[in-house]
Amino acid sequence: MTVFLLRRLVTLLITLMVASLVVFLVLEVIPGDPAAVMLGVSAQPDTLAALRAEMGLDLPATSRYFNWIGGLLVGDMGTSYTYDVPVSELIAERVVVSLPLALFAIVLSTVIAIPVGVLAASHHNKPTDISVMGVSQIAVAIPNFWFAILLILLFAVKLQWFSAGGFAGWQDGFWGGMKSLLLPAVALALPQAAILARVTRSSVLEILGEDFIRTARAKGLGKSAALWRHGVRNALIPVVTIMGLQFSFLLAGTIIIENVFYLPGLGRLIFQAIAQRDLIVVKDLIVLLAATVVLVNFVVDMLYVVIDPRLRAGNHG
Amino acid sequence: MAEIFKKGLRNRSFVIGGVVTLLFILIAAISLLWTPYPFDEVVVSIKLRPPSGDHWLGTDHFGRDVFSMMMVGARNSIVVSIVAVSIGAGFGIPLGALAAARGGWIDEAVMRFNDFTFAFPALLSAVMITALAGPGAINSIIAIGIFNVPVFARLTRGAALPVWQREYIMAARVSGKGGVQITLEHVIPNIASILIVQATIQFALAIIAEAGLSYLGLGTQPPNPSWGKMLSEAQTFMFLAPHLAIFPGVAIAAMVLGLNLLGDGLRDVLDPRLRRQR
Amino acid sequence: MSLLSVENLSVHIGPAHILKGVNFSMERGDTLGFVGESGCGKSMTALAIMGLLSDQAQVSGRIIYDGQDLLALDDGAMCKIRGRRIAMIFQEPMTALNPVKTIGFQIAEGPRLHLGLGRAQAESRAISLLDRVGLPAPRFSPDLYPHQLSGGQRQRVVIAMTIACEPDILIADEPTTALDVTTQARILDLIADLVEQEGMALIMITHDLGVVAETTQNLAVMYAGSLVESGTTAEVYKFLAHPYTRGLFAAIPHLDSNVELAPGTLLPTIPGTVPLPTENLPGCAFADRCQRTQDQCSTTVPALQGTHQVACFNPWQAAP
Repeated sequence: MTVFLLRRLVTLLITLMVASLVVFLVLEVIPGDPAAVMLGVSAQPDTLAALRAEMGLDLPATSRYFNWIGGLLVGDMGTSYTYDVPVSELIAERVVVSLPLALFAIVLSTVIAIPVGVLAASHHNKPTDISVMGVSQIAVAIPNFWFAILLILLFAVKLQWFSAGGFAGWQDGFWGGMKSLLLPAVALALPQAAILARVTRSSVLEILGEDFIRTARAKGLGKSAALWRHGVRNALIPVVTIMGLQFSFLLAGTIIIENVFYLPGLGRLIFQAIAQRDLIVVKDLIVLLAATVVLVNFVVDMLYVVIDPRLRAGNHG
Repeated sequence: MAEIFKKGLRNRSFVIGGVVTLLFILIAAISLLWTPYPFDEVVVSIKLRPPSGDHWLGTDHFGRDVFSMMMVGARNSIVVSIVAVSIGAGFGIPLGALAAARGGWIDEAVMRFNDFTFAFPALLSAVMITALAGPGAINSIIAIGIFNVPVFARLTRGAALPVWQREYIMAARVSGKGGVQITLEHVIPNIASILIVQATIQFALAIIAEAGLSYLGLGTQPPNPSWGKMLSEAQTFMFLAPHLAIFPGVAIAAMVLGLNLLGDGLRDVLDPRLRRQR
Repeated sequence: MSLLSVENLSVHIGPAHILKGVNFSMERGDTLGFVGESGCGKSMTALAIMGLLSDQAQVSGRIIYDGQDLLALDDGAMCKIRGRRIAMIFQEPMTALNPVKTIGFQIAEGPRLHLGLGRAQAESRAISLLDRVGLPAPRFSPDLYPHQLSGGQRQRVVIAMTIACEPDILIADEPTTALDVTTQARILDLIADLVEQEGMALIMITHDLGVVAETTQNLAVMYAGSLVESGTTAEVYKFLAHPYTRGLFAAIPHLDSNVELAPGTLLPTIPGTVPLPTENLPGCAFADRCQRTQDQCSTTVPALQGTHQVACFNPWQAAP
């Protein structure tokens, strides 16, 4: 197993490096003169020169790249051009919005989807199953940002239970902050939950046909006991795969939803940075987000080993 | 071919999905020739009107006819999605086929490439391209296209590998056929159904992705209408004209639903073995 | 009173008539073999006894176990009997065990469920059961996972699971078909030993006449959903009264046969094919393949008759 872990770790590092390389190439090398991009066509030559010096653009690309990576690893991400504060500060400010939002959505979608999927599978082809399939089929087709708008229409405009956007902040305590995140998290969670429910259902259905379920029944376990005690853990294996794959969509979703609700998170930060052509921030953020996706996939791979003992020792008696 | 089609007609998903998809394509095609009003005709005096006999879906904040805008929006969405998915498939399928045919370090390289491309959801790529070159529909196409490549590569590789193990492939190799020939003559036809079904699914995902990118302002630019952009503008006027926020969303959902059903139906028709428990 | 008495058991699944009025009974400690080709209904009979037929199956008749009609019980009551009083071994050892749970857990599950044993007690019972089935500690710990064992070893674990609660009846459905010949012999020996030690009744289902000869006192031959011959194994093998039984036996090459087989001789086969369960034939199901038919064979279904029961109007009278 350690060999397996090491190999995955090496792959992880290579992927991260290549990703950062690509980001660097696209945002610093290809534009030719990033300073010119940032300041625009009407920039004064001396402002340009000053920015170039500040960004260290006179150094060759390779050393710039390694300086950047070195900086990232110790948490020094440079200074934002627009706000003139360290990028790490900006990110720290925003992460306390984005991270809870993403986690909230993951928890919501998992807590809803998995039981629903198992339920549908255990009532295969009966009304419960058919309605779950129907609803999820529609839910998958609904773009999350549209669902968000509909939620706003209903809960903020019509019923006025929630505000139509903005973030109340954490200073009022946990629930104060969470209230602003509720609608966004629900909007994010919906398509995820629909997909997860369908995958759970088909995975459980497949497991139900397996021989070891029959063995469990022959031992005297009732249908649901056999399902829950023996089936679910096996059924979770493909579900975990899908959750991992879905993470990058979740990330993209978080960015969009933050923009729908005007939440001051990393998603809004990216867009503000683009609007202001603050390439430093954009570069750092993208690498950070890409790294998160890669890391999450790595964690999912690790999770497999926990769930499925066949992946551990791998030797036969 | 005709056989498949006949079989399809008996499958409910295929029929409903097919009809809905065709409907949208038809509307998009018609928009090239005719729309009730010019989609960019600004008539401020009739802004934010609800649906009526004159304007079937109402007007937006510039007095533009919503129905006409949606027709053209359909065209834009469909074009972007088709091109993006074609790019994805065009690069991804050969890559995957190559990886399955050659194995070894080529296979490893393709897998690593996949891994790292998956780290960049379409949104992030679009952000990068926009930071570089400014927003536009081309951005969406490239970004969505890039993300589709590993999807097709992975799928093709996964489906092609078992085919290579089959005995008639060995027979072909022994008779002197090269990898390319075998791939084209034997492997691709065998996995074609999987690829077609996935393409339909990717098309649906591309529609949603394009809508999201336009919503954020990264995709199709005004005055070209797109459903996503219409939704973002509608959000500002939610309190005054809620209907604006509903129609584009319904269109997106309907088209995606149609495509998903079509994909399901195709899967049942082309290869029932692909069908997992439904 | 018999331990188990199956009366007129019939099973329909949709239009297919899978079991057509099966009758037999067993006493404590009896060993009964069910022989027949694939699809004749022997596994179905076992599943019917266990109450594990699919929801679409329509079952009629009675299965009297220890005074109760099992078919009249609801699933909850059946659960108390499965594994505890009547246990079953299935054919495929490679897939019979849950891959993500240890073998100790899976063996201990029955005793914890039915006998109310605590975790530690159940585990030590599992360890002693493993020892009994030939998987002794320390090499075979209860913390092993199924994928770490071979097919034969997995089947031993399954056997351990089935005897864990000391059932009255053990049903073995082709327990060795998926195993290689040497392992087969060992597993059969193990089953035979355990059956004798525990005083269990055994139903051995197989298509292999050799297996039956070794492990059972009584034998029932099934064809197309009906019992066509039954009696003690010795009787049946001696007389081979039903034409189907005789045909089955003749189809096996015998090393110690009196007949010298010249090179190039074809092995005898039974011509024709088994009728589909959806065909409802008025007479004997074997009639169109039989060489001893009389007029009544195609119009009336023969009932089991005689002390050594044969369902045939014109059975072989003398030993071959």
